[in-house]
Amino acid sequence: MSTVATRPAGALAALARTEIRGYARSPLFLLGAAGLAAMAVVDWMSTDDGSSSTMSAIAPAALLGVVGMFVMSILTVRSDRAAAVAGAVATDERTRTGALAIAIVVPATAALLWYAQAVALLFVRPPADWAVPYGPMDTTQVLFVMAALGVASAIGGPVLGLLAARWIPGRGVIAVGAVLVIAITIVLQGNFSSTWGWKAAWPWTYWYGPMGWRSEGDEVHWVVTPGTPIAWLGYLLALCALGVLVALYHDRTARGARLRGWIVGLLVLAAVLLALTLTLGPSAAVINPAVAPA
Amino acid sequence: MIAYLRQAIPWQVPLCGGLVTGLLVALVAWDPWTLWPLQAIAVGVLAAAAGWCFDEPAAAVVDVAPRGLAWRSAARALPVLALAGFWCGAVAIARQAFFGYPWHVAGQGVAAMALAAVWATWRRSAGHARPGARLTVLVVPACAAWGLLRPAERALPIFPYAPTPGPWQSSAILWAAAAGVALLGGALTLRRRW
Repeated sequence: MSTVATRPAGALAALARTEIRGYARSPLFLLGAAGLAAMAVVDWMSTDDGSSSTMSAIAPAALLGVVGMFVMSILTVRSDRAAAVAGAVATDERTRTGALAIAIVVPATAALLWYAQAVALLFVRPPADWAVPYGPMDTTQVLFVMAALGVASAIGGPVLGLLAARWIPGRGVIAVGAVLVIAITIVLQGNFSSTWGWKAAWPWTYWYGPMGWRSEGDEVHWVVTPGTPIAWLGYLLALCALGVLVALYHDRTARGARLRGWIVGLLVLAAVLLALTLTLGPSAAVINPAVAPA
Repeated sequence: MIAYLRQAIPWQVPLCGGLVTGLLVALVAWDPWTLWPLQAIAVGVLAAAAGWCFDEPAAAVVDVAPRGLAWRSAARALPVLALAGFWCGAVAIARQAFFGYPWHVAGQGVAAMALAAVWATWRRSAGHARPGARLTVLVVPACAAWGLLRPAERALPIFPYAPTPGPWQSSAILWAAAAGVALLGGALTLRRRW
């Protein structure tokens, strides 16, 4: 990372190029991307259990999203250090934050590549009758769920890393933050039926799968949880954009009425999209009667 | 040594590590079948906290001071031992949650801390001031990803799941070997620096 003392627009482009290179060359990102590619190859080579690629979005969420929180945190600290060393001629924080946000194009591209192969696998090897598509969860909605869980999480992780590094700077904060995010996500992923009506407020949750409680020996049935994932994808992207704007807002010189207006506007948009997510689609869980393998 | 322990150790790190791992153990104990990935993350947090205890931001100053790396590392191992004791106690209290293998789980955490401590000491001996902080950004996401995805579950059962004996036995051998490597590496590193 280096700082550039040029006109703001030129500085943003130059810094963005540098941050994109930094992200793409980050050993953590490369490790995650390699792991994701290996898992995709295994998915194609191995015998399908009947769910095809409908449940594979956990891989990009973990390997690009969770890892991205750390990568972005490291890049932000590095950017700040470089600016501090450069002194008064350094580019302002807003421009550096913007450049870091643009660098998220790297995990987003990797996630889109994963998504393309996951969609191809879904059509080449359609899921069994006991899985999805089923009932209200048609193929289009399945594709939206896969995009939300796989691609939006790969964008959201680095945004969260940027947000944390800007507002709660400190060594170890991102590690504790990532652990807490994962813990809450596992609780709200859909295993507790009491959360099915509102769990979509959290940015990562399953919409279908063998969810809920069973005793040993009970039949396994896939469940489609209430709401619509189409509005949910919009909600998640609105949250990502909101995260970037709130990170930009950390720079005191950037706190104009225009930025505040955008933040409020996105907050309202996210709230509307969440309301649509929770109210459209089925109002109660739908259970696929076909028995899935235990 | 007491004055050194009071002033040089970043006590907030083992305290925070203990708090987070305690929370994770409590969650796993609540519903191990669903929340099991948190066990792997707890091991990662322990390793990160252990490595961090050996960071010396003022390395340029202390490395040329009369007190050698071995003495300082021995002092810095005390909070790590306390954290290991806390971890074993937490696992013992929640032992019903670990599919009948609580001491395997406790061993994973202790071996991970030993590996992290030795790795951090080795990097310190090479002049790196903050190896623990670097280790944190690798080990926490790595353990989180491994725990969530459980790749190569049969070939490489680093964090076994469910009460199936085979993977637990293989895992115990893997972690014992890791602890052995840690002890050997630690002995060799400190022997050169005593």
